[in-house]
Amino acid sequence: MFPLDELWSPIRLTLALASITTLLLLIIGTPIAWWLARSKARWKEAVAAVVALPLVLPPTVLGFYLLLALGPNGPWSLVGRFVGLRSLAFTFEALVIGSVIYSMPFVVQPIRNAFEAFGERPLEAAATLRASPWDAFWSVAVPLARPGFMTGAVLGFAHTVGEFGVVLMIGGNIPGQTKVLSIAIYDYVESLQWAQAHILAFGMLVFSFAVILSMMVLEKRIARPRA
Amino acid sequence: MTSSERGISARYEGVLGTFKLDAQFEVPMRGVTALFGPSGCGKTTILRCIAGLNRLPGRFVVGGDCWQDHATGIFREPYQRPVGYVFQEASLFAHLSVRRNLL
Amino acid sequence: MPTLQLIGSLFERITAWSAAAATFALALPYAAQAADTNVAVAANFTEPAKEIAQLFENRTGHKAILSFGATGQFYTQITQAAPFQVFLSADQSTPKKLVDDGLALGDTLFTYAIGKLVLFSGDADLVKGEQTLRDGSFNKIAIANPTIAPYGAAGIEVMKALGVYDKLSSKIVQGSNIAQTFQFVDTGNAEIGFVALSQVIERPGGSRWVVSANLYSPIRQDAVLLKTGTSSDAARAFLNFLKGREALAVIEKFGYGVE
Repeated sequence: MFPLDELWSPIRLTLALASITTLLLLIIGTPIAWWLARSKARWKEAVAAVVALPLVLPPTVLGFYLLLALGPNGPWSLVGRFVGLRSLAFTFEALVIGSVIYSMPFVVQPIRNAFEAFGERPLEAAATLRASPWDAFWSVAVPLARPGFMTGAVLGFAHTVGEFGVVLMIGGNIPGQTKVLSIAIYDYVESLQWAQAHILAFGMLVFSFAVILSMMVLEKRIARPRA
Repeated sequence: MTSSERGISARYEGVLGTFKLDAQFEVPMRGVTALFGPSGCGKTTILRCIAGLNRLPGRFVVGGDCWQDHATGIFREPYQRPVGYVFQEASLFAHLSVRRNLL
Repeated sequence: MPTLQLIGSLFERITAWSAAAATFALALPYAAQAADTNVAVAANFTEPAKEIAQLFENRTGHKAILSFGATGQFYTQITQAAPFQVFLSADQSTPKKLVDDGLALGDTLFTYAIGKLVLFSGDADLVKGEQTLRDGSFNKIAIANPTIAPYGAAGIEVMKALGVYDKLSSKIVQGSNIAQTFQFVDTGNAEIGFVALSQVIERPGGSRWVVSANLYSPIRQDAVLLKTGTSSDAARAFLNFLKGREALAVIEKFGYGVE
């Protein structure tokens, strides 16, 4: 009935984008969250505000500035000439960059909160037990902050799946490369192919619901006291 | 300084929030030493300084081994000090089982 | 030199404003109850629409409140009872669909402009006519989404007519509408793109080729009175104004053809 690859390609692309973005954000966001939780610098909250900007910035604004930045007249041009790529726009990599910036507050905030939640004591105890800062981080801080990591990962993933404005600005709608789920649905609606739009949109609705539900259930499980 | 420094020598002088500490004492390396005094006089603060958890200007030497000296800028991090600290309130690791906490 | 230009343009503006004021003064006795009308305008017709709306208000006292966007989007909104009374589409099929759906009045349907396709680049040396497409010496070529924008469909037609579509198809990036397509080219992210002549007619620099009309089906842009505007004098007046001499002059000035 409907060409299945046409429907599957945006799904596959979206899952790939969300997974890669979430992974990158966990790697990049954790040190930032740690610094925000522990630092005593006076300009700490200014940094926190910058990280949180995408929460209030309209996605089209972010997308527009990205378009300029990734183009031949922006910062990208410094790297572009060596790689032989005039503009990074319209590539999957551009979407990853956009998604990382756009979803960052959703990952950093929960992790920061989790790091702040256990306070100073566990780390002090670890230090008196001869654990180096690196050791203490991995054996005490990270396990204690696990709910924060889970929440951050789920939120970051879900937020990237739903991303539209940024991708619209810098994607170029290339099937198999930048035509993600949200864009595909938009396209189907625009070209009045409402049946396909229904299928994808409803699928996305079910998926989002499942994600949020499992997150709630998981949080309950983790909070249960250990034997 | 002198070669006969076999004991534990402590000197702390500084401000922690609104609390002002000015303490100096020398105790032997062996045995049990008790610090006692009215609440709020600085006992916990001194212990935390010895463990390295608080950082007040001062000098702390254990059997000739200098752990802290404000004058020369020496400060050994808590995890580098052979100190066993029992906190006033229970400070178990919430993410570990009883067995793992002990081990 | 710049000072002269400044004085020149200032003079032009004063003249224009005086003329407008005089026209307005003359038109005043003829303005019936001045009313507002909501007009949905295809994105590519933005600039001419603004000018025409201004002249319309001067002439009749009625105010045309313009909304710009993608034709497909307007269709969806209109079927969901969006408060537009007049629709200026980028194509012919969408207004016809609205008439068939019973949402627009068939006897008010007419072609208000004929779009002209342009191959444009911000680089002054790139576009040299159809040869540029055959050479294909660029990374990305931008077109509007062909399933929803007639300029995009026309771009595809041209590439197929010249036999270069297979070669260039991997370099195509799509803008969600003609305005975004132009943005891709204007920011340099796509070196070259198919845009509407009206978008580049007042833009200096770059290089352009007005595509020969025989390479693509004419982009007829139709206007229609929507059912919601049936009893609106201002709405009907606007459509009539669109066929008049003043409006036609503006439409042609912006690089569109007229019937």
